[in-house]
Amino acid sequence: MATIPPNICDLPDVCIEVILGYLNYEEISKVRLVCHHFNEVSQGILNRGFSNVQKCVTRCIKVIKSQLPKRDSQRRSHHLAKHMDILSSLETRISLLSMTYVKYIEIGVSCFIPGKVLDELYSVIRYVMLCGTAPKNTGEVLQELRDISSMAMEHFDEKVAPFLKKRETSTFQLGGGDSGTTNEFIELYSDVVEGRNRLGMMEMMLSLQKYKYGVHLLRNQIGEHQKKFLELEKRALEQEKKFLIQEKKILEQAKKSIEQEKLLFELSRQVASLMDLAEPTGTKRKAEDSHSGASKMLKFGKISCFTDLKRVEIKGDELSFDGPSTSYSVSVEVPRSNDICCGAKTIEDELLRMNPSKKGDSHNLKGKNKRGGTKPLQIPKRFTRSQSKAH
Amino acid sequence: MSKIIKLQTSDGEIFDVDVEVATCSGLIKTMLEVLGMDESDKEIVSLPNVSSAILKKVLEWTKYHKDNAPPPELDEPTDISSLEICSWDYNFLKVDQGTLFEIILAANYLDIKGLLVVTCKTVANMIKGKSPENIRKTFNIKSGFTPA
Repeated sequence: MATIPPNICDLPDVCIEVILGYLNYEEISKVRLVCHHFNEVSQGILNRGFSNVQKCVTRCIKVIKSQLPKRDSQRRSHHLAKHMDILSSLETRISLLSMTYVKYIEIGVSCFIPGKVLDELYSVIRYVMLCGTAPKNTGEVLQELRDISSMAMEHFDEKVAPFLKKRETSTFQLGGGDSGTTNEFIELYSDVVEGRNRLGMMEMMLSLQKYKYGVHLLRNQIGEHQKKFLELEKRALEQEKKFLIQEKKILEQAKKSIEQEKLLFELSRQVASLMDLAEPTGTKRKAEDSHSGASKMLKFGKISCFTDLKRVEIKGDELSFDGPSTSYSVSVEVPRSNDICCGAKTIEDELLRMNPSKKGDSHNLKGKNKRGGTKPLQIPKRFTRSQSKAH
Repeated sequence: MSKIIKLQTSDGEIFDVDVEVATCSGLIKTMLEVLGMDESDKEIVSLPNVSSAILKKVLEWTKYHKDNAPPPELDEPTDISSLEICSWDYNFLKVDQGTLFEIILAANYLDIKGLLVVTCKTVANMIKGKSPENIRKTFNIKSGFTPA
């Protein structure tokens, strides 16, 4: 059985790469049009060539820089200064080219199309690195490169890039699945299967992966939110419990306050009865200290008049009152001075508690015990009025 | 006396080859280095991807170039002068395209760099300066591209 002799397209990529490796980049960019196989191999060579030229320029700049003096003034007059200028210009040009092409190369929709630019770049590098003397004027050396690279970039931006973007959006719409009928999808899918739209397929896969990743992220977020929600619910329950406890406490406090009020009322009544015992004119009266439980005697001196009191003071055996315009004094007999002080203080506290707002209107009562210390006492107006009525 | 190695082609033909010639092939060289070879060793090395006609051509080339150093590897496309080949190679490769591509495939399989380079240069010379359409015609290639 006779075997069919192999065709050039039957050669493996390695062999075609070696074959095309003997052509310059301009020719390589042209042979892309021969067939798909040539196109794929040529694209790889062109992309590699562009990445290699970038590395090559960086390497050359390093070599030249290492030979240049560090001082700027000396560097300018050095014979390698022009070499450096040319290489710097090349670097700038390459970065401009990469801004135009690299993003499309990275997503695999295009390659570095202008092979001629690569040839020119390499020829300039060879010229700069191999010429021993100072090179020609920088502008002359770079003129051709500037022209062809600018033309290539303009052409790509005007003609190629819009087409690629258009194709990208159409692929995205296909990936979205909302637009386009089933027939259109089948047609496109058959194209993909036949290998005519392989790039589109790749983009589709990429967009699909992106969506999957997005869904994964969203699921994670939902899980986190659910956890937070449960935590908040727990907290709300705890707060409710605390609130109930607080309510109970408030009720207890209210009960206690009612009891306190009752007690105060009792105390005020007792104080009133105690004050009723005081005689307004020159007589001595006895009073019992209900607080201590022990029997005590209070003796009041002369009081000529008993109207609104501003100050009540106990000095030794004397109880003095300050009315609106006149001062009064009563002689007091205290068998146990500590007890009366204690009793007076308790009375004052109770009175203050009973009616604290009347503090400004109250009359001062200063008690003096045997040790000679004075105790300011306050009696609310209401109380003194009743006293004045009593007298 | 030089050692002999037996090479069997895809069509079953056995070639007794001088080891010095056979080791021009990177494949056979590595094989012998790894496995070793005795005087009494009469094992046959099978080459299923190479036909007898092509192995004959390959052995002819290796016999001629056995003393030559292997060519340097290419980093980037070089200038036109690199495409020059010697007259003996030029005459040796005056064969039909099928044979030429088969020699390329055999050189690639047997890892004979010199032969691969010279054959690829010959093909590159056939491509050089031609338009895509002419290249298609020369090599009988179907485009596969849809018209714009």
